[in-house]
Amino acid sequence: MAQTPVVMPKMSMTMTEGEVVEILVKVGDRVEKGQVVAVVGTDKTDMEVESDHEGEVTEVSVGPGDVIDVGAPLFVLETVGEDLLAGMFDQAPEVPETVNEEPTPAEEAVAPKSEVAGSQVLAMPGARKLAAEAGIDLSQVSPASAAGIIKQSDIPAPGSRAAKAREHIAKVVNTSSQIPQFSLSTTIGLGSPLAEDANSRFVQLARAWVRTLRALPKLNQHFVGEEFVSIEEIRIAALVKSPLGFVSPTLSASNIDAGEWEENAEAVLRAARENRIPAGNLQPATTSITDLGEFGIRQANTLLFHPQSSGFNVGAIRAIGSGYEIDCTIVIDHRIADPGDGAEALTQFAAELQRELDVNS
Amino acid sequence: MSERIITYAEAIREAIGQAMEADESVFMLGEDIGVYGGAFGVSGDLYHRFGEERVRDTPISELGIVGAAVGAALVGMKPIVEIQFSDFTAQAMDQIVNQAAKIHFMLGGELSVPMVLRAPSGSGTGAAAQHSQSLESWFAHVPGLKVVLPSSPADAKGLLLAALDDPNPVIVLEHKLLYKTSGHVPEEMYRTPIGVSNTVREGSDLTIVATGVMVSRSLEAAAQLASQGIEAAVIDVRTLSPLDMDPINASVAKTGRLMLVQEAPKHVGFMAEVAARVAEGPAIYSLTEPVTRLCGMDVPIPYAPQLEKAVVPQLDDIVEGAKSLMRGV
Repeated sequence: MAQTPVVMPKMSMTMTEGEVVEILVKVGDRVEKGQVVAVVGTDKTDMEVESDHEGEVTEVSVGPGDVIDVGAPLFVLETVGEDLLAGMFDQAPEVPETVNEEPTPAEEAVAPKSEVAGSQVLAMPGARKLAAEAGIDLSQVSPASAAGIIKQSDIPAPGSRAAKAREHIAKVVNTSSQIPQFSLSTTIGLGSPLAEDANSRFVQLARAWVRTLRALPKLNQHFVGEEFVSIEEIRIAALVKSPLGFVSPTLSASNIDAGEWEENAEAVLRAARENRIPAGNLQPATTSITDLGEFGIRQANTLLFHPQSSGFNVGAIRAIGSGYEIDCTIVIDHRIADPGDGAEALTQFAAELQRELDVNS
Repeated sequence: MSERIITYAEAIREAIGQAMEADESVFMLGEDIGVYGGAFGVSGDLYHRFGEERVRDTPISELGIVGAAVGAALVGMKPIVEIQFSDFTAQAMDQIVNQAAKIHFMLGGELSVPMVLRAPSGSGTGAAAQHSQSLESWFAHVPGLKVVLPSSPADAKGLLLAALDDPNPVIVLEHKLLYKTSGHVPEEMYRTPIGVSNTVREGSDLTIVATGVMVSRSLEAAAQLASQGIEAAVIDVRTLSPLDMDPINASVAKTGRLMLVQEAPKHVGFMAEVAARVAEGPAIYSLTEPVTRLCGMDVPIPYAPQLEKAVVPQLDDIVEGAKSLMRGV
């Protein structure tokens, strides 16, 4: 038996703290290894946290809205596994400090909270007003006050997370100027339509684009430092609209031909639309797929950010006579390839996409 | 302007003297205000300066004193009534409440009662339960009466002269503990407007609203709090009727925390009115903590000095109250 904290994970190199969005377990719950146990927000997005251990929850030290450092405990599990270090350290086990400095008021706080649970939320009038203006449900707000009263400071300022996300995007987009890039557009005719569902459509486009990159080794590389490096694992950034704005979960293309890849990809995209990206889907991408068809956009060329060396954009599909047309634009890091290579890629892509549609029809 | 320092009692005497010099219709009446110079020495030498016609010693009958003053006011005089202890106004309540406050309304505005009634208020002098009360909310509850509580020598003079200008009855509740306190008081006849609250200290962390002797006590507390990094604003309500909420609302909008300090018992006290006004207006949305009232206990003022102190807010109570408010609920 050991007390094992489940901690705020570090989701990116720049992440130093995270906001607890939701704790999905409570004291007494059994937790399996790999179970999604919490949702945390970084400056960019909300992500699910999986437990690395199995055991029983003995203490939950944070609540929604708390901002804690990376590595600080979210809750503590009593794990059944052998504790190989048991007894080796005489100091107290790593039990998290509670948020409240004074234990007495924290204990007193239990009464008013439970008394009003489910029926009435205690809040200062000003906090009610702020929440109403921001469209926030007070029952979802966690008060910092020991007495369980929601105050103005507990209500997130409207747009504050969106503003943080914007800052993050600004920093990332800045890196684009380091990459000399060109774009090429063409219209591709198709015998059959793309999938209507955006997530399924992404799978079709991703398979065709990844196969194109694999067929053209010149395009499937980075220019890193002073060297050309072949890309071993293609990782695709997908552009998805979430309530917090556009987010890009990353999908590894390693087993893109497998049926389970399709299932997994669609699950990740669905979660991303709810602004919940699994932690495993936030690595840097090597390429991107941007499908703005659902917004009625015909043509777009996005920017490349390190370490992307290519990007694929597609607009809304149009019915033309007995067939269909889409406008495709690819963006390529000019250091690894020239426009002629890009033209070859678009031709290859058209063939790959038609093949993908034929296979499934 | 000269930086002359005089006491609160001297400031009141100076105001009365200047008013009597300026206006022959002004006269004083009350118990022991003549040769004796007043129970708290306020009238002092006025008897010798203005004579027994204008500084009139009366029999021990508060009802009679106020009744005579109301009658004199109705025929064009400007009486200044001194009631020896504000507790004794209980004896004169019919004249104050049913006559002075009502006549102007009941006679269609044709007559008015330009009477000023002064009375020493509050505890802290070991005078026990019948000589130590803070009865301001009695008067503030009666439409037709204006009620002022000067908290400094300068306001004691300015508010009294403003009260004498007023064509209707004004109750001036002076605090016994303030009579011997000193402060800068200009020599000229100036007026402190009735119906204007006074921000005596700016602050960004919490708003303390106080009356009477609690104003200087709150200022002392604010100085202590400042040394601990807490900036308290202190607002002297100064005139309870009519009540000026503007500086209070403005300060609460800035600080989000409101502590109300009064010497009078808490139950149905004046500060409940201030709290209610804040709750009724936009300032309530600025509050980040519930309103705190620091008041006298709901008991008669005890005679034993330790108990007398214990039942009304003292300096430490205000400091601790403010710190507790800063910690929040």
